[in-house]
Amino acid sequence: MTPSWTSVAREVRSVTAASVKLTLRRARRDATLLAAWGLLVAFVAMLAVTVPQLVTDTMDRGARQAVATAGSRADPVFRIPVGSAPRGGQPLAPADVADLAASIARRLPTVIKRVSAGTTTTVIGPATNIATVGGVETAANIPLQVGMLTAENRSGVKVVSGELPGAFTPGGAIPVAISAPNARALRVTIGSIVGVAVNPGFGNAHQGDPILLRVVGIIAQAPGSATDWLDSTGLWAPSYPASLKNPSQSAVTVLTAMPGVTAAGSRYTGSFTAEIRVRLAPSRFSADVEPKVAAAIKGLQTSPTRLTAGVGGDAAVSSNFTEALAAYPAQSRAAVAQMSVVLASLLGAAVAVLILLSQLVARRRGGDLTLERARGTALTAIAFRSTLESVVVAAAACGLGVLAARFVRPGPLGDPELLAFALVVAVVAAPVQSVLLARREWSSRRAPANRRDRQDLERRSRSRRLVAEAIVFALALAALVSLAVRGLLETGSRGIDPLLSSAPVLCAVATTLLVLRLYRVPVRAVASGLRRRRGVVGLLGAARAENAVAVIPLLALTLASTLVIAGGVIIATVNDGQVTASWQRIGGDVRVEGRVSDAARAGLANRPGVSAVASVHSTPLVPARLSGRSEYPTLVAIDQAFPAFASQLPASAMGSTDVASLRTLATGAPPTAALPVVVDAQFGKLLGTRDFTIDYGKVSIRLHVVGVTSVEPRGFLPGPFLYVDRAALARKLAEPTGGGTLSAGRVASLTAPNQTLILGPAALGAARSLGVDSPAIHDRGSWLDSRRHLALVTGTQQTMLLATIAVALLAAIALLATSLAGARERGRSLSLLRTLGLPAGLGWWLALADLLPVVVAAIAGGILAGVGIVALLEPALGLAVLAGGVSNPATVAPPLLFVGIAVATLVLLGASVLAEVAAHRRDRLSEVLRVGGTA
Amino acid sequence: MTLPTAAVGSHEREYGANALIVCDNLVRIYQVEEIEVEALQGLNLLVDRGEMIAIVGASGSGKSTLLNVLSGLDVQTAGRARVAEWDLQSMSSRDRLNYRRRVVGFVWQQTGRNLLPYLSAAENVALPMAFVGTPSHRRTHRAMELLDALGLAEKAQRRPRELSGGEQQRVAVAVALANSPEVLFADEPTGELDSATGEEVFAALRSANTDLDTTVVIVTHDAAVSSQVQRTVAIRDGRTSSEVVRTTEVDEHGTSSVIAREYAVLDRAGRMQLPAEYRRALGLRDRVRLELEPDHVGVWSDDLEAGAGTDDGDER
Repeated sequence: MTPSWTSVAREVRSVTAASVKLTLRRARRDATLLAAWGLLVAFVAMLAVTVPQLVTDTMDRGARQAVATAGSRADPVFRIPVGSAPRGGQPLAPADVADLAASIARRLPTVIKRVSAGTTTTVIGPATNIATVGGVETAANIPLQVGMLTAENRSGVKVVSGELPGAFTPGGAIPVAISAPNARALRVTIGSIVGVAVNPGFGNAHQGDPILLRVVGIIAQAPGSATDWLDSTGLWAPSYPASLKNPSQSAVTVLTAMPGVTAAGSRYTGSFTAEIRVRLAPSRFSADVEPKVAAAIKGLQTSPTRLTAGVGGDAAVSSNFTEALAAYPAQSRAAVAQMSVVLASLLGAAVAVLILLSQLVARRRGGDLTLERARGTALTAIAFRSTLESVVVAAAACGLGVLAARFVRPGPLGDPELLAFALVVAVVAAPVQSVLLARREWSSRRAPANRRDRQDLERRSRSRRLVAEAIVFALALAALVSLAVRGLLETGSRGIDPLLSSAPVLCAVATTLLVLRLYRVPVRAVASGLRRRRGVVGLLGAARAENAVAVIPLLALTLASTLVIAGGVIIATVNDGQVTASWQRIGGDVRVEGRVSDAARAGLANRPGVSAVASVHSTPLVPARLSGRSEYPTLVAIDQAFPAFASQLPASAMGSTDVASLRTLATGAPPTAALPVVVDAQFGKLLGTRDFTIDYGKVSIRLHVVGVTSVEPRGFLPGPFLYVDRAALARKLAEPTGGGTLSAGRVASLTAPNQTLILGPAALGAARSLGVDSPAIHDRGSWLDSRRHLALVTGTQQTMLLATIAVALLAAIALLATSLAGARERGRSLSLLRTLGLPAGLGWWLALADLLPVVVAAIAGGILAGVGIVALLEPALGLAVLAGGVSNPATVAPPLLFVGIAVATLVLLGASVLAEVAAHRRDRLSEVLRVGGTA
Repeated sequence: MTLPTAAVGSHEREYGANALIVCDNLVRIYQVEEIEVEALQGLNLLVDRGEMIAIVGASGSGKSTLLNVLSGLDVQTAGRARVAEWDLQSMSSRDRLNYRRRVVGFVWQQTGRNLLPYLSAAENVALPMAFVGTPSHRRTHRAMELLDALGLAEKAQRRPRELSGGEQQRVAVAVALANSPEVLFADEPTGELDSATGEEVFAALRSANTDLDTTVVIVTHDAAVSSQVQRTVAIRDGRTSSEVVRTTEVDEHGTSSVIAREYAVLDRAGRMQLPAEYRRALGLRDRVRLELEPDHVGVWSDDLEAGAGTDDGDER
């Protein structure tokens, strides 16, 4: 039968009539409680806005720091031949370089334009050796390059003396400007003529007459012009190549004007190159932008002619962006993973506390709801009225929370999902609680008359509960297992990982259910002891404690303690892991790369503050011929001090301090016998026999395995490892072979130590005294310091600390709400007991008996869940990535963390009990007994 | 509105067919963990339309349980309960809601439990009408009408805390009458009040019965109340045990007097409870001998047990 409009209207009126009045009047009566509820919602809304922003900020800071650390290595650089097009296309004239640079800048992909700080254009000639100085041939092998002075970079030059090069007589010496340090190095002055070979190569071999350059000016770098000269190596001071095998890296660069470039270009066998560098601005990067820039740069490298329009023909784009930022993606995923755990727990705790407080609100109105139901109000009407109030309060509170968030962190709001979720929970929590409570009153559910049927109902209800709990346990276990197997998420570094976020919440829920099942056992044990005490206090405490733990308060407090413990364990584990990683990466307090003379090394060991020195010659990827196949281990030639040195390191530094097998290497093998070698466990598994051969320095050396070691310096050398005695290796290399005998110099180059390890508080000063370049000195303290100041590490830790503070507040609210929920009943009990002679001042004992079990249970559950999550999910959390070591750091649960939690818990408990005492101070005994409470 | 009539079959009409309220072997068992409490153990009760009855009994005898079942706030475990055309056992949730709105009204003992503290007296009376979708103007009119009938018109805008206990209960009566129910149930309505105030409340209930033709069922310990109703039903151990019926008789001089007659209740199986003092006086225990006389049934003690009377009240 189709309902008539009248009946529909009546139905609508039955739901909505008097709703506004009832809602307003009730809200006025419960104003304090609603205000507290609203403040909580505002706080949760603020968290929902601020915390994801913190995550985004951390990721963005990490991206910016990674780009800044990469420096100019990350810049994409266009290299186009000038003056010729070896593979066809239109040649690029020197005069057109500036226009091409501007054209490239305009055509850059948008994402690169947005992060670009401009372009730097350098025209640089091939590096050829100086043939003559002042007309006299020189034997020194000093490469020299000629760079072009342009309208753009002219302002970056300051004339010290003489003038800038300009036009000159064709056929004459090309005027150049040179820096004072370079002039001193070449022993030239204004007016000097320098002749450079026309072709690159070693020595002074050249074809034809050298190109004559006349020094017309001494120049210096103008302040603030560093970016103009990024590709002009050796312009302001001589720059010596790190390896003689790379003649393109000039030692000296001079500048000339365009006519000079044209004239020189026509003489060189090679061509000038226009290097157009797109400088990246770290401050414009974000976590979102970084992968897009990486992809865009890759696209440029694949097809650079899109931007050059074929000018110059053979354009190439090079960039070390991906390599320079290789560590960032994994680090950012690790940071997101760790923050996901914390955020999920925080959000879970916030939702639980919202539900808890909404329960309080619903219970406050329990009497009203019972009366309304008895008078015939529908559940729909109850839900409608409650939702009406909820929507208004939640909307206002969320608005307040968003404003507070903007105040804390100005700027645009991020993704609104969490805020929307918080708003939905805030809106529906109270109506759902009200409807559930009203539904329980006068449920009019008929119980079966038959006792067996009633017992069946009870059994079915218990079974349903067991099944639901089993499902929760299964989900939690499945989440943990899949995360443990999956490891750190490999795809994408943005966004919270939903699986990783749900795991701690599921674990906390599962732990809560487990605690609910088990807590009665210890409570009853304690209670039985309390009951035997004289007096009523023990009996009362025991009776109340046995039934004190309820689901929602326990869940809220368990989630809170899970977050605090998991966060503390993560921070402690990463910090401890960083210390371990510093040992792994450096191999001592200081490691010096490069050659250090024997005398200098001997002097190191005698310096005060240096406790041990060792040196090794390491060569990676040495071909080793095993039966049937080849492997490429790292050959580590150790000196006699190395075993003792390694035994003094922490076990985690090189995997082990068991150096017994390494000590056997120093016995000295007789000539023509196989060289003794100690292999690591990984290589040992590959061996079929104890004898095999390696090719080293073009010499085939037979090796005989005399031991296996667990010492593995994987932090700074690639494995697997073969250890030989350095002196024995040198003797073996010096032996005559079928291919001849290696020279002493060659043997020295193959065995002289290239890694010096130093231990001791004064190790850094000792290393600096060696006079080597700073990049060759690796200091463990500096490494650790830079690791700890990684933006991703500090940001993650800050987020965790803030989350801990926030969850502590939520825990306090949860405890207070739990206390308030039972305050009325405790007041009645206390009043009744007072009529039997109980002193009034013992009310605090009732509150303690109610609150202590739930707090202790929550902390026990939180420890179980928090430590368990970190220990089981270590691979998925990427702790090793942020620690920076070569192995997963051991889970560290610092005692101070638990002490702190205990202290905080006692403070919260004390505050709750004090609040209870204060609340009952005004109770009038007779009124409480008569009506159940004080008005 | 479709009323659940299916359960009221023709075969049931013999028992209480004309009564407004029918309880036939009503059972209500509460189970809390392993403990069972049989609050009602096969209670029979008939209440005619327009009656005003009191239900009395010791604490725990099942009075309030009976009221909760009849008012639709609770459901019996077994047995039949009918109020007007409503079979209380087979009602759906929606039916029960309509029943509570339109068929019954309820007044509790605690004055604070009957009224919402943040609504005025008139607003409290209008509230049940709002629940059934009555338009606003009609609600206001009806509320004032009821309050006026109960002598509270000038206090219509006062909040409950501004009213005395008796006034609050009278407002509660008005609330219960808001939707013109067929039955008004009152559970110890004068329990918290002094005798004078209690009399005012009772007068309100009587007014509801006589002026509005509402059937009134009052659970009470108050002898002053139970002595003023037409019928008092005593419940013991979850069953009706006796009734006192009061009639007004006028003698030949025109003097009227109220005659109270106490009856033992005979259930549908023919069982009844003999008062304890009768059993003690005649030494009736275990078994008795019945003799059918032309106009009565004689109950004689078992000759073998003569002189060994007990007061355990066992029945056969």
